[in-house]
Amino acid sequence: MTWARLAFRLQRSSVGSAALVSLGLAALGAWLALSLPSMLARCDVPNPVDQCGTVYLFGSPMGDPALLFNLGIGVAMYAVPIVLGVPLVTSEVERRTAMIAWPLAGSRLKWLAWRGGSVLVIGLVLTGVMALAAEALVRANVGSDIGFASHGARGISLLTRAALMLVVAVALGAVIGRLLPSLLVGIALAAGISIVVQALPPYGVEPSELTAAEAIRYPMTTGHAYRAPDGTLISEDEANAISIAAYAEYSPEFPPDSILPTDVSYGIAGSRYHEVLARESAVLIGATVVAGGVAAFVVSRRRPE
Amino acid sequence: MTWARLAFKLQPSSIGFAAFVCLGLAAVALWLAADMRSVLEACGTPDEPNACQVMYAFQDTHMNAVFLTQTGIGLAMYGIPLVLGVPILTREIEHKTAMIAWPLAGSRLKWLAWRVLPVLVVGLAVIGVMAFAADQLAQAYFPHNEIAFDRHGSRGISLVTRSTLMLAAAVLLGAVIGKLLPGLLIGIALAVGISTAMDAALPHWASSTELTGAETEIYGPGPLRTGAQYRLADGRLISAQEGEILVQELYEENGGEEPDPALMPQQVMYGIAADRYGEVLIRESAAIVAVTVLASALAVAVVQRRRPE
Repeated sequence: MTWARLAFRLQRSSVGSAALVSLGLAALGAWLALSLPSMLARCDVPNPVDQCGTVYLFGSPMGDPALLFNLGIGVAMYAVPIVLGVPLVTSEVERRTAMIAWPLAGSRLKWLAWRGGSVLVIGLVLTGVMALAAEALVRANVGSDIGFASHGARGISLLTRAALMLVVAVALGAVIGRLLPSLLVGIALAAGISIVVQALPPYGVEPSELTAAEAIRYPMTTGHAYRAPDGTLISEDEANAISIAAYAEYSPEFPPDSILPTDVSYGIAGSRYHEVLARESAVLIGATVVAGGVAAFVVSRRRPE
Repeated sequence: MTWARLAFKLQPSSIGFAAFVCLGLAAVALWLAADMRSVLEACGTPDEPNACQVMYAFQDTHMNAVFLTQTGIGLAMYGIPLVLGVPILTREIEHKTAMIAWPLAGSRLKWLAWRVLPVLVVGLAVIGVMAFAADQLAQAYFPHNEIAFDRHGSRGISLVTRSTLMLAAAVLLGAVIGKLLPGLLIGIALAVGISTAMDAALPHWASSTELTGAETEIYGPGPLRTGAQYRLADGRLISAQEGEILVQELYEENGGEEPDPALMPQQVMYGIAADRYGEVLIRESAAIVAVTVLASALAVAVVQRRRPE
């Protein structure tokens, strides 16, 4: 574990704060996941405790901690990689130690591999613990069949996003060479990556019409339509017109369901989650390798000051 | 404007980022406020929109955009002072230029004043614009009510005083720690602490009283609500939880029908009325200014005494 000690000594504040945030959030997530079943049981009685009536976030009496945890995970999955990755090159360049460290290492790529590799391992372990806790909390709330619930903020999908952000942060630090501007640009970049990875799915997986059972088991919904009583697909305006006519005809009674248009959802069923996850992971790992290549290229070419 | 140019040359990324974020958020907030107000121009006409009648006039149309903008402003009011304040000293110390700059300035106090004041002026200008825009946005979102305590702390004067305190605390933090990244990371924790402390202190700047009239509503802008109880028919007060259980029992006894109003406990709201907002704002601002002066004095003391490396 000499490499880990060395990495910590070189980036004390970033590794320390990343560990504090990640392990703190993981502990909170684990506590919530373990407490959830008993808390839910306590609310499932006549005249439950005061908070039970107001909690809707997780269907649990722990609204505030759960909300804080979700917010924390959403921020930490990008902030921890930025804080770990950006100072890697900028600290050497700003302190002018790159002029000594890079020639001493034999090759700049070797230096980057040793420094970046150890930080990447530390970052992946910390975000991995956080990802596991987030996954456990979602399972405690939703059950075993979680489909696309909290996709991107738990498990492998969190880990691949964090790994991409970390390598992008290293590349950014190498390109800019100064800590504060890199951190500020990194925040904007994190917002951009977060938006892009939300917009990319379903990565070519063909959506299909969701059955009623699939529609409630956390699918990825890609579209809506309406079906007329005769089975043809119709627009929202046409569906509204049919509904208004049916209600007018039967008023004040309700019309039978058989003459009303039905809502049709399209998307990818939760049971096909792994198909999307595998494709997404491949895309994000590919992007991570490209960003790593950019970082290596910049480090091998840039002036050490 | 030489001082402004010099300040920008010394901290181009911090000042550029602060101006970009604050003015960008202010532009979005003002555009949203103007857009919501333009909807109300049709009030009184045959095509009067729904927004002319209801308290949450723009909940269906503008809520998400307003929430995102207000969240951005809420983060920027602490993030910008941090980014402006921490590097003032850490940069000189980390680059080892303090060893030259401090003796050259004649006195460290003079150096600190020359470095901090331009950043303070630039910071207050861009944060002030953002605070004004945030105030307009909050007022436009609730066009039919006095907003008083709604979004207090993240608009208007209360935003500016909090940001100024954060800036002074960031300068002090930079002086104590002397390194940029640890200074920024501890600064984030400090910002969370300041924000929490300010929110916790708010109900204590004036005494809570029983609210009356429209202010007894549980939700909506206006007063600062600090608690609720129920009053029984005989005048006794019981807790909110006991009151809710009693209401539930009365409904059950009545087979789900509405019980006799004389038997029903009445909800009593406590808090600070909207018309006392000015009083609270003055007291809070005085306290924050005092803490800001204290933090600045501490920063001066640290700079006077610390090693320049």
